[in-house]
Amino acid sequence: MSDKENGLTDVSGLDDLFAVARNTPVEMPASLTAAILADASQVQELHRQAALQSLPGASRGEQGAAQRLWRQFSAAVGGWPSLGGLAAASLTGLWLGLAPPSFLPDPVASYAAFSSGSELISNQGYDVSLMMSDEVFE
Amino acid sequence: MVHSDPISAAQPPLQGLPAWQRCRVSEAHAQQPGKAESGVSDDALLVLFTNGDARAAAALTERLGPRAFGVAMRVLGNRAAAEDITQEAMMRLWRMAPDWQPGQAKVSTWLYRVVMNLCIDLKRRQRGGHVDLDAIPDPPDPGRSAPEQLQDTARHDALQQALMLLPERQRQAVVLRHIEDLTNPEISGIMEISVEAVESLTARGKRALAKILANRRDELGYSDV
Repeated sequence: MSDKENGLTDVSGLDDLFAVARNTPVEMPASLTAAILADASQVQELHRQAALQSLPGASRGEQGAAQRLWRQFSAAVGGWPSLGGLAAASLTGLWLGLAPPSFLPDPVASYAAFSSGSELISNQGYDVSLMMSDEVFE
Repeated sequence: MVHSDPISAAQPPLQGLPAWQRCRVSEAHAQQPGKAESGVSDDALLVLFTNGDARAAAALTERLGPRAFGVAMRVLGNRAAAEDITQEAMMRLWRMAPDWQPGQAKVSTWLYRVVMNLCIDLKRRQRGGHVDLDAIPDPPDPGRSAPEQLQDTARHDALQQALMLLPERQRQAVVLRHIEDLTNPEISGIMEISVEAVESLTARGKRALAKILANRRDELGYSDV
């Protein structure tokens, strides 16, 4: 046998030792196998819960439904940038209504000129007799 | 043996899962068309595991656990530490299972890399370690005579003792190449070094082992006849 002839004085003599090591079966202790499988079971449960949560339409309560509705609305109008523009336009309109430039009629001032509601209604052209009819106040 | 028909056995856990997960099972199985259950790829078993198949966990543990444990034992020379590292490596395997991309790499290569990195981390923490040769299992071989088995045991232990005297990286490379029987490119991927560096480490490791064991050749039955 060449290994025996060479002994371990050169590298080729190691091949026999490596073969012995390769042929030595490595058996895991049963306790280690059980621990690994217990870990696997726990992780599988976590994966299962994560998969269920990722399913579309998964119930997460009313708060979750409200959040989804808001997200759908936000997405429909174009996201946060569009919502910001919408808010700015609304505030601008409100401001123009409360404090219009001089070249525009002032609705607040025109309403404030009347001292009573009936005066305002009659001045705006509403038919007071119609407003006071039984049909309206029933 | 895990189950006789892995594809049909995988169907119940798939109920109610998103389509992309069901597709991953089909893709993984498609890599092993017509193979028997014992030939189900590690990739497919990982997908089955993600889908809740407990038998896939058992099959992967049976297939990969001893390899992780064996290499950790060889590199660390300590049974208790090897057990801890094997459990941790398998835990990482379970956790990463949903993110595994079938066909891109071998699961065993990934696991070897994790084991090696855990061994390095442990060695860094311990700065020393010790050889626990009593914990190394004797080679049961009923086909061999008692003297032959004793000699195998002596050779096995002598090799492990010599391995523990090698520098860490040389030991890893030699164990992966000559005991785990991996190719140099595989070891290159595991140790994250070039193939040339693997060749250099294994060559230097073998020379060092030969030098360490040279004065034990009579004891190990290598004396000239």
